[in-house]
Amino acid sequence: MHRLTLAALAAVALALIAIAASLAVGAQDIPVRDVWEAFFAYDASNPSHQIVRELRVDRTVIGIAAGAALAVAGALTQSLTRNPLADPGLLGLNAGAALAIVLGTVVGGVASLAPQIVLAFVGAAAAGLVAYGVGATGAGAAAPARLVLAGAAVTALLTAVTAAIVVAQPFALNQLRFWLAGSLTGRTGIPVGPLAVSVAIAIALGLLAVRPLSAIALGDHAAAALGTRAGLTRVHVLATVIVLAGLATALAGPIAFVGLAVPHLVRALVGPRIGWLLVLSIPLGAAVVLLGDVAGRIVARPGEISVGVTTALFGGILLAVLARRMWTVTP
Amino acid sequence: MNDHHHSPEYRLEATDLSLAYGAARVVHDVSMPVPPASLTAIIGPNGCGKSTLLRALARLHTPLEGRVILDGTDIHRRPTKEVARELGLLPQAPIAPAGITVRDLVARGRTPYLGAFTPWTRADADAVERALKATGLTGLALRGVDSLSGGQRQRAWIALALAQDTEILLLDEPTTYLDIAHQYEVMDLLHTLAAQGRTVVTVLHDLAQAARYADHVVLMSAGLVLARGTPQEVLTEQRVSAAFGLPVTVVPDPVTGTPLVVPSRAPLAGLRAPEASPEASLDAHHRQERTP
Amino acid sequence: MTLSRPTWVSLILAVIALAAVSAAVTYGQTALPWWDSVRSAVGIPTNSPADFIVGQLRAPRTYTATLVGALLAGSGALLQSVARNPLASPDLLGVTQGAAAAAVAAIWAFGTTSSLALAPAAVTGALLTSALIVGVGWSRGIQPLRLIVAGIGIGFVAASITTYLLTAIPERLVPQAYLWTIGSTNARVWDHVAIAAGAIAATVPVALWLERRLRVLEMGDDLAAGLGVRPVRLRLAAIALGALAAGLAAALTGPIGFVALVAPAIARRLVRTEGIVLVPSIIAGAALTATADLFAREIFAPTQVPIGLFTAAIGAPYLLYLLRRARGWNS
Repeated sequence: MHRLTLAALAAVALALIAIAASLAVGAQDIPVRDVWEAFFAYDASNPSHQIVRELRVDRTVIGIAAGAALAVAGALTQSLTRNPLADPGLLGLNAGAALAIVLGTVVGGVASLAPQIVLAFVGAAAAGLVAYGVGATGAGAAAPARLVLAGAAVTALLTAVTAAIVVAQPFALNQLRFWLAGSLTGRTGIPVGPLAVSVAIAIALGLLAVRPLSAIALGDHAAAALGTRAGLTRVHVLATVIVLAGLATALAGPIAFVGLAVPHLVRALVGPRIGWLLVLSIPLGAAVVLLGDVAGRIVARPGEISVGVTTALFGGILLAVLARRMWTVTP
Repeated sequence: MNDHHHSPEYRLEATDLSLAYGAARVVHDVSMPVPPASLTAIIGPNGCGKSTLLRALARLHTPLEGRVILDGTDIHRRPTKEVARELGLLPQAPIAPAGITVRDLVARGRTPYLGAFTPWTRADADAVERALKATGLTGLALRGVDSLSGGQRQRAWIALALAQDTEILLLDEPTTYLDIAHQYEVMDLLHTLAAQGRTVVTVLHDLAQAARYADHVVLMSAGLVLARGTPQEVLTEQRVSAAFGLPVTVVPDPVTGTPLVVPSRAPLAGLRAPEASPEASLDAHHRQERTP
Repeated sequence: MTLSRPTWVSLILAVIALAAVSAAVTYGQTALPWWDSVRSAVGIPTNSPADFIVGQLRAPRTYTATLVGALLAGSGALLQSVARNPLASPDLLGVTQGAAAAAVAAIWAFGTTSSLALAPAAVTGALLTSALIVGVGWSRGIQPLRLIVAGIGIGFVAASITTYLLTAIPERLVPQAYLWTIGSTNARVWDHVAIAAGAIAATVPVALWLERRLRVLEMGDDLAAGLGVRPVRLRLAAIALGALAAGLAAALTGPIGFVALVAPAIARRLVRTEGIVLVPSIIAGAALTATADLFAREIFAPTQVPIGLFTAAIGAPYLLYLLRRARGWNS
């Protein structure tokens, strides 16, 4: 128990440090003291205070919400499929969102943000369901590589269709190329508050699945013997995952690998305890996305590399390393 | 133990061989000449290193210490294609390409004789026909390997090794996963091959098969060779009990008179004998997973 | 004399490829005398509009597409044999994404979009990526699934680099740069044809040289080693050659998806084997891209659709079908 408490404290501390860094670091660095004052002794004439309150707060809230949503969605997917390589971000959600936005722009003339968010949500959900249906059901469902490949296949198909449209309609490309890179900025006027609250509600709903997921961890037959209704749990968890991943995509665009990486980090701390896994995924997911964003701001100063790119860089390497560990040649 | 075997009359020989997977040493300082024109069976409990030893004899496992000598030269110093003309290997779970016919499968045994663009010659075709005939598969040559029974399929793999035209033939548990009739079908074939002058070395799981068919038995335990010699010399109550950690009684086989090993202990009174011990099935599972 | 099944399958596929190429050079928006088109297509001057329309526009484009299809198919056949998995192909393994990332990086660095100038960058990118994939996926030998998942991870890294660069380059270069992520056969010239022919001449004989041993390797490493084949060396050689072919293809047209996946599958299905059948695969690839390119050029004429859309339309459903099958997941 001692170890778990320590892990929880460390995760929360890391998240707090990430939040502070996200508020303080940027094209213009702002001392932590000024950040503090911006909240508790606001001076409207101080430009530092303005930057913090008008730009960086939104950005940080988006990072927290998207990171927590993705990490919990990843932890849920990995628990449900008993597949350590499962990640909603690898299921083609991003490609689905991109295609939906391009179709909306070209076919429906959609150029404003609110309908784009809805489109992204719907596209992501549809793509994710197809990839999950192909990769994690039926015979051979437990094979870890299959879900990853199904995601890659769906991504390739949707990307080809998107590309065909974009080439014919170049104006859509400019809408798209910034969506393609997941980012915590660039979407001014996004309804951050309502979206963040939705994330919180969805996470709470996901936490209700801890008991049945712990039973499912023993295998479907054992779960049934323990009185768990696997079908119902599956619907509950999948619905939660899709809502969470869709919200994250709507908030920040495509950010892959957070859902893959964070649960692995958490499991290293708490072992195979699904309840702790889900709860600690919240602060660590937020921390990873915020730190990825901060790193992008530092590396390319005075410009920045968007968080979708930095997380994909680290996440892709992590996937390769996991692959190396999973299929070690046994004598 | 017959340690006087140390002479050039043996084509294949392991000397002071130690083998390891990474840091884990699985075979310790084994010396073993392979008697020519006879059937040698390597037996021992699971994990004793018998398959690893066989792989090392086939130069698939580089020794940590010691050497495998083929015709007086370290086997790892000879070109791999040349070795493949002297020594054939049938691994535990080879993969049959789907839809391949028996003849095409057997024909792949000619690989060591074919360069990249060398045409298929009469000699190759003859070798394949001989191998089919020796394994009784001539009539099935055009059948798909998928459609064969377990015993026929194992014979097809042995035919592939025969088409390789090597005097020495190494096999890793060729009877595992076969039912009892097919097991003895395969053992009869190996016995015939040895009688015809081939040097056959096979890892076996079943002590009764080793006792009945082998000319020489090598008993291993925990990476060491406990005993080497004729079945009568090796399969004694004391040695088998020590190797497998199970008290056994050895009686004469009612059919052949060779040693027949049976556990000394009857099922314990009042306890039901387990139908299939979980360890045994787990072990079979691991063995399947390990195969490529 | 009776022909072996691979031989007559190759012949039939060659007839189809030839028919598609003939149709592509003689049919188009501008109606031309058939005989003029044929003569221009083989380089005989006719002093008619065909000299330009066929000789400079249709023929080089069609020939480039056809030869690139052959290269891709050869690459796929090699990689699928090495991985013992019908899913392996340079696009899923990340090699293609590596080529694209390197090409877009060269656009970003040098400001040129000439496809010939970018070709060396694309080939280098493909080779570097495959070296990285083998390096990460290597652990006491090559395990097929480990290689595939490591490849997907590294492909993601490469794709995220491309995504970032697309936001970093000047806007006027974006449409040209974007083509490197989807592939295009538009505006190819005779230089492309010459390079493609040279690439075929350099890679196909080596591949044929490896083919017989690859067939033995498909039956298991130990059996192959017993037959005098060196599994590790052979795998490395086949991967390097497959990556080189895919890199050359990507250098000429950008990544045309799914050809490397589908063409060997068509060939194997027709020959009725699951092993490598190099020559039928290569001819199937040529037939496939020749046909797809004709459709891409003419179906929405005068609007050009990227050829990748047509190859994806065939390839993605096939890929999803493969994933639905249970076989091969535990190897």
